[in-house]
Amino acid sequence: MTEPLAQVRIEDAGQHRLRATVIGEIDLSNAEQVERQLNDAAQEADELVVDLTGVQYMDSQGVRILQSLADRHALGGVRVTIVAATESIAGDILALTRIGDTVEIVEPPPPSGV
Amino acid sequence: MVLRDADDPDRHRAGGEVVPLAPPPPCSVDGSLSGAEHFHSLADQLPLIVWQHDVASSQDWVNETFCRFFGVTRDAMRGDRWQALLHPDDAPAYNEAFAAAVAERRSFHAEVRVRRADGEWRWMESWGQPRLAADGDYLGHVGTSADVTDRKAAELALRAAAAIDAYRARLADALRSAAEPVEVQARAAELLGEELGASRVHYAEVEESGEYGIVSADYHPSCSSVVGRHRFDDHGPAVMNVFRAGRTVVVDDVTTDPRLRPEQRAATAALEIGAYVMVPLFKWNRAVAVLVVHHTGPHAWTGGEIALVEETAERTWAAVERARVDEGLRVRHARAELVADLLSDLEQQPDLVAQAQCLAEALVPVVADYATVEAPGRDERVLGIAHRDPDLLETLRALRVHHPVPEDDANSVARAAAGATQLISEVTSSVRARYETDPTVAELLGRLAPLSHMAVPLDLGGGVRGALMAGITDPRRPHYTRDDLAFFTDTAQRVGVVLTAARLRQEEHDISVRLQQALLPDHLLWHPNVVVEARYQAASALLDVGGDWYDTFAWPNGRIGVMVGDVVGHNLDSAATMGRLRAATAALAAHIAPSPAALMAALEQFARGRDGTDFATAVCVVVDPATGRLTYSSAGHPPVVVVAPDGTSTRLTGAQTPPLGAEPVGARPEAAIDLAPGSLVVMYSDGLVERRRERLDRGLDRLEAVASRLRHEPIRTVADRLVAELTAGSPPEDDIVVACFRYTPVVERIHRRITATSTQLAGLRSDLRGWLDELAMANRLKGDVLLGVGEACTNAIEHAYQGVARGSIDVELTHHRDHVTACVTDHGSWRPAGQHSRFGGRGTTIMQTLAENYSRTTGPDGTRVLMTFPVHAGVEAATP
Repeated sequence: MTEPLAQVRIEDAGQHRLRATVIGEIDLSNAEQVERQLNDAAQEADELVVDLTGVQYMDSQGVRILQSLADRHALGGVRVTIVAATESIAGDILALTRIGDTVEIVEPPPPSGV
Repeated sequence: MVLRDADDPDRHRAGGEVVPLAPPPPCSVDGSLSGAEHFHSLADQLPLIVWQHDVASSQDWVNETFCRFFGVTRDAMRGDRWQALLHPDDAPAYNEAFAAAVAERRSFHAEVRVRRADGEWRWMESWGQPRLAADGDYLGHVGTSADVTDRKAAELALRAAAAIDAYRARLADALRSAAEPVEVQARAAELLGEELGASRVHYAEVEESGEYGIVSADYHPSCSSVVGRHRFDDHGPAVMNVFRAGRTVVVDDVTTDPRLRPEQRAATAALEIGAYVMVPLFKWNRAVAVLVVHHTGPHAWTGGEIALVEETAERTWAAVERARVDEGLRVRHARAELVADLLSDLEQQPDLVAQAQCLAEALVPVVADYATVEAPGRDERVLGIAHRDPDLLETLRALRVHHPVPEDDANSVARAAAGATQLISEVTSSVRARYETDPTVAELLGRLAPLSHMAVPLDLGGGVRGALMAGITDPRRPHYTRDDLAFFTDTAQRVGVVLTAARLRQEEHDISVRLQQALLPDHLLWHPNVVVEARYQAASALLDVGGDWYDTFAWPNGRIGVMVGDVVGHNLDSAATMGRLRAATAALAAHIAPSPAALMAALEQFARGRDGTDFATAVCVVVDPATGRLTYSSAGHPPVVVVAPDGTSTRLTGAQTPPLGAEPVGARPEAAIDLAPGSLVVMYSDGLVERRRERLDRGLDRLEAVASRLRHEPIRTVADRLVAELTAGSPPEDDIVVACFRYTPVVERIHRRITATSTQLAGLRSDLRGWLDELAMANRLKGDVLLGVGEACTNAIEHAYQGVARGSIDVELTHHRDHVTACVTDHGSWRPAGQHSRFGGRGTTIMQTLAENYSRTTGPDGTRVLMTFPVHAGVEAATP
């Protein structure tokens, strides 16, 4: 396989918080892989922030990952927060599937240095 | 020479004038002594007063009659001592006239009051002539006088009577021209005041207790007005009891009248009253009103003046009562009209809130300055609210919504709703104080300033008990009385009956609408080249629901049939007939000759209603998505409108026959046109274009104009906007259906076949993205297409090839002017529905939400998902 469809970068944001930045596309082909990476991260933190600002394509497979991540870790006490702009590829489908009803979605910070 | 007896009054009065006594002619007086003696002797015999002056204008002789009349001696009258007999008021004018006659040596004639021997003043008419000697020398005047008192009295009486007649005429005119009771009072007071030179005149209505008088208007040219409520006994019970007994009170001088005590004199004087007359209007055994005339100082009232006041009082009372009756008739007439209009307006209202608002607004300002309709049991308690002053509407609302009177209060809305009528005729400061429970309420009440208030029960229908509240804030309006309460109670009862009936009809309306909607198709046939949209909107009028329909049906050779119709009549039966026609259409389409005319003919028998009275208009269109060939047949239905891409429109009037079921029709005709790519076809029922009092052509013109403007919009937008714009401004009086489609053959296409594995998806997306980038299409909509295709492919990969060798998936995107169609076809077999994962379900939801049209058809060879996406957002989305 060539370059992976999506890259998931995990950063320590301090205070037992991890930040997972997803860049690229999520579909049926890489959903399980992305899910595994996010799951691993979630097990090592009190809070997992999933940043979808760099997602170029995402369908119901991506929604499924986020939903199951939130469901699974709600019991274990891990807080999952999603970062996605309202008018973005990820933001649109999250709104369409009303995942915001169960998972907190926050706007990305405005571009700095302007 | 005719001499008259001056003492015989009858003689003087006989002809209404006095025959002048001719003086002794100069020729008979020759100036000689013997002549003079002869004259004097003759004159002494006359029953006429005769007097003679010398050349120096000094009286030198009077006759016996003169002396007897005045009780004087002849000598005592020499010189100018006769002057003492003249009334001082008349003397200057009399003397001046006499002096002038003497100076000019001419005849003299004048009238003067003189004191008779018995001391009485009498009117005397005198005639004099210059005496001339034979040589023409002036010797002085000689003359006679007669007592004309009786004639004079008659003249004065006539003049006074004429003045009174003129006054009566003016009064009658004034009273007739005044329309309102207060205006009548004002005019009468003014005229009487001017006639008598009075300082103040007013007409007061006496309250039933007899204690107070209400002055609504007064004449007061120089002193203060006394408009208001006055306690009679403040001005002396002794005199007031006189008028209460029905007799006129006359006070010539309040400072000396023995019936008045000092404090009563002071109270009277404080109103600048020095003398007065009070004339009671004694009706139904009591004084009901009083006409009062004031002078600022003492005044000796004459019998004539008192009579005039009494007459004016009686006439004024009659005019006030007449005006009151007229006003009562006017008010009753206006109220009857109000109720009639209100009841018919209420029937037009769509729901309870609108009805309540309609009721409140109808009452203001005709019979109330503010009104509310309230339902104490409901969350939204205040249903209708109106105030004559728009600035105070929110004050009223704040009071009624946020600070209602506690339920246990006798004047609470809950009590009114429970059946208690409430009348606070006068909202006194003590009444207000009772409800000013906190500063906010006090402030709101202060701003609203109700003067009179009432509440009556109102049955809002459907078991909701409400109340109608109304109030007066304008100080010029009369307070509410028991008569007003009766009017409001009666009106509320009538309104209650209408609301209850409306509620029942509303229920029937809702049932009809539900039935109608249940009978209409829940999905429409469509093709990527011919996407059909349809709308149904129920009539707002309560009973005009049912019978309009639209439908699509499959026609041989991939053609699509679209039908719109209208069963004439609006009730549940019409809806049932409509359902029967729809079912028949679907059944017949498969079995008859593939022609719209044949279908119409076959439908004939299904159009008749249960009782055989219904008939239906309908138009059937069959369109070939591949070629744009459109065939149609109309049975009495308004023409289908076709709008070409350049905006020009055509009405399809080529195959028109009478309605279905109306009369026997043999073969029905059909006609055909070829649609230019991009043509918009609009089918509708007459409710869309018909307005009351307007020709059908006007509605069609309007439809064409709107359709032409919308011709490039997404087809969903076209359907929505047609209904919205053509019903804007007036609630639909009739059911409306619209079915529309655009003939949009493929402009561009891309086809990809992928193996059904997930790793193919990214490459497919990349290809499709490249193709979409060439279209004039918003990026977000392109994203929607990719997402929809992604979901369809994911479903196919996950479900179509379970347990079998990987097959392929065909993906085709076609561009059709206003939309893009995505067609995703697999060639596998889906696992049974029960095993679908919930995530596959989410994918389907996403597709249905994103696509304008979505269909999934599964056949033996596989499953096809068809979706359309607009290339641009509709007008509504574009203008948030």
